[in-house]
Amino acid sequence: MFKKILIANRGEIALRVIHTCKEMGIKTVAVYSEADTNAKHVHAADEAVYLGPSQPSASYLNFGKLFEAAKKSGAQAVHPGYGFVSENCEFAQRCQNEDIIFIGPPAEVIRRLGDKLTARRIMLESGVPVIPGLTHVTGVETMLQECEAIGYPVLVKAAAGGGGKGIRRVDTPEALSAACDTVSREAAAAFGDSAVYVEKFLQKARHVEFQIIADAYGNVIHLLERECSIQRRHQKIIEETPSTALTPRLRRAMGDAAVAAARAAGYINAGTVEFILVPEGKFYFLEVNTRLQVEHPITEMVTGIDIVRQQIEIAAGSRLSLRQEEIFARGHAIECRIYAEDPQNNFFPSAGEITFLQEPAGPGIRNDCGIYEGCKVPVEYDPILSKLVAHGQSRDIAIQRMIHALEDFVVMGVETPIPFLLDVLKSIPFSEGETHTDFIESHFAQWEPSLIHSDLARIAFIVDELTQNSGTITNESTSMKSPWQTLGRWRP
Amino acid sequence: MQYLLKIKNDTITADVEVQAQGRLNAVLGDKHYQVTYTRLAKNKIHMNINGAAVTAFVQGSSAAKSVIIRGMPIRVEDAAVLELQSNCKSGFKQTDKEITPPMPAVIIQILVKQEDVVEKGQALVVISAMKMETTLTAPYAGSVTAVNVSVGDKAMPGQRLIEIKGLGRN
Repeated sequence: MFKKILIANRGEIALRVIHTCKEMGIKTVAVYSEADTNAKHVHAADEAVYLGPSQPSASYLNFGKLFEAAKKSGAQAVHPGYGFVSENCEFAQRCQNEDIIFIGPPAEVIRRLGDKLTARRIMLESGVPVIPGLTHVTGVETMLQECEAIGYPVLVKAAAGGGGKGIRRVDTPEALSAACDTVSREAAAAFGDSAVYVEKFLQKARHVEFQIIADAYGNVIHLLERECSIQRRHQKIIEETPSTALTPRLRRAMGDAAVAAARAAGYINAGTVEFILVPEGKFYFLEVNTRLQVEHPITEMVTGIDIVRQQIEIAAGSRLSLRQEEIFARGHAIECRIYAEDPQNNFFPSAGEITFLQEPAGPGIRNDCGIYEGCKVPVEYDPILSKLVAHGQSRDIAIQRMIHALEDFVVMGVETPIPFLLDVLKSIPFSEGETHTDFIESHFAQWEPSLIHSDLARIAFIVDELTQNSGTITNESTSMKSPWQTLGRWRP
Repeated sequence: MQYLLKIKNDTITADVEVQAQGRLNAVLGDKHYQVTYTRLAKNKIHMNINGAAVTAFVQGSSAAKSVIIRGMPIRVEDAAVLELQSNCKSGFKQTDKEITPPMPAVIIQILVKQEDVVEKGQALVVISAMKMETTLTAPYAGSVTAVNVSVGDKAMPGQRLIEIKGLGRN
């Protein structure tokens, strides 16, 4: 077993990995950029190595700096978390070259599955159903013909994309050429690869993914599914398990397909096979995420399995100790992603300092939180603050638990989507489990916060004014202390 | 006391009567509220409003606060304080016909007495606010009918410091 692991990431996921390492008695090395000098993950680790300036290219994406940190600290393995270098086959390859264990799949597997076209081809060849579409990049003429055959609407996607990025919907043949150009250009800029392909756009679809784990000895199992259909602009915001759309039969079929997909790709370690599920009960392969997913906690809550621990053990050469027959879910778990975003301002990122923080707690509540009161939320990175997870005996209980946890989760200093999430969770479509990928568009397109507590808020304003100098701590609010506050009020 | 509390475009007058430590009555528009309250921590207030327990998280200044109740953030502004602050920024502005300070001020000097005849623009009273002195002048010619303050008094906007009966006016 490793004695020391370097976590090549930041924020809540770095903390999450550090937790498991501590439980396993493994020493941890955190890395940080300028902006993260006082970040929570830095304090939590046994040692911390400064990488460089805040831009990812100078720090969390900088191979040279990362390997230097690994060498200096004597780390034997690197856990990449999600994002950053986690799906970078060059990084994984360099780990191999430099004799450091990359906690994830082999570089070659990352490379092949990272190219969405190659991934589709691998699945087709293995009999895993794929979405009708083109698997090879061709000229516009051929694309037009193929799209006629597939049927509109279609999605134009970047071959090097993934995670919901580099996608455009096309409803008519006339718009196809322009969309291909746009996606191609965006892809070249974002992923360094301009190749595109098209897929049929499936209506009333659900995004259902399966967690898979494979060891280096050919053993592959799945840890059931996650329903991730509540998305905004292709980014997940609420995930849950089990999926309300899966019958035991469908679960078995999809689970088997996920395992087949993993085998076809020669997968090792933890990964996720994503499917699109349509109302007729048919499912299609979407992509494989060759890393730990953001939403992995909901699987952990219902199965009781620590996926990060499994990752570390497999990377250290252990055989998979779990058998498929042992895997079952208890109860229902929901996760809400809490970003520093303003739901009243088109979810625009909201940077700033966390001036007040109260985290929810109670039975069945887990909060993977990367912030603390007084810390600054940097602008340079994905603004995820925490993942709030609620687990309950039934879906209804889990929903109620999540609603109350959200109400108890108070963050001041930056905006969060908490009020938006509350409205979604309290809604009838959500309670009915009618979660398709067009959920937000259909039900919450023009969301505005409710002002139901207006009078209470006014009263709270007054009480706050009246109790300014009472209580244990004086309010160091953001106001300029003007003489008017000391003069006070002498209203008749 | 009174507050003019604005949420979005909706301003309501709140009439507040503090009964005792931690207890007040408030009338907001036409609704009556009995409130007991205590500050739990820096940004956390616990109240009982008409029998219901409410915990509110509040942050901000006397002009505007962010209030979070049951996960819902609401921005509440004190329209009166905001007005004063905006007046402050643009300097002292004497309101048209009334001799009243534009912001809470202290009376430094009273330059007239009852029955004095004054000309339009004549200096009447010197006030001090935020370490700046300014002079309030007669908006029209007339005679002084009342001097309502003394040197050293604190005066609020709306309070008439000097009253002048204009020539040809009531």
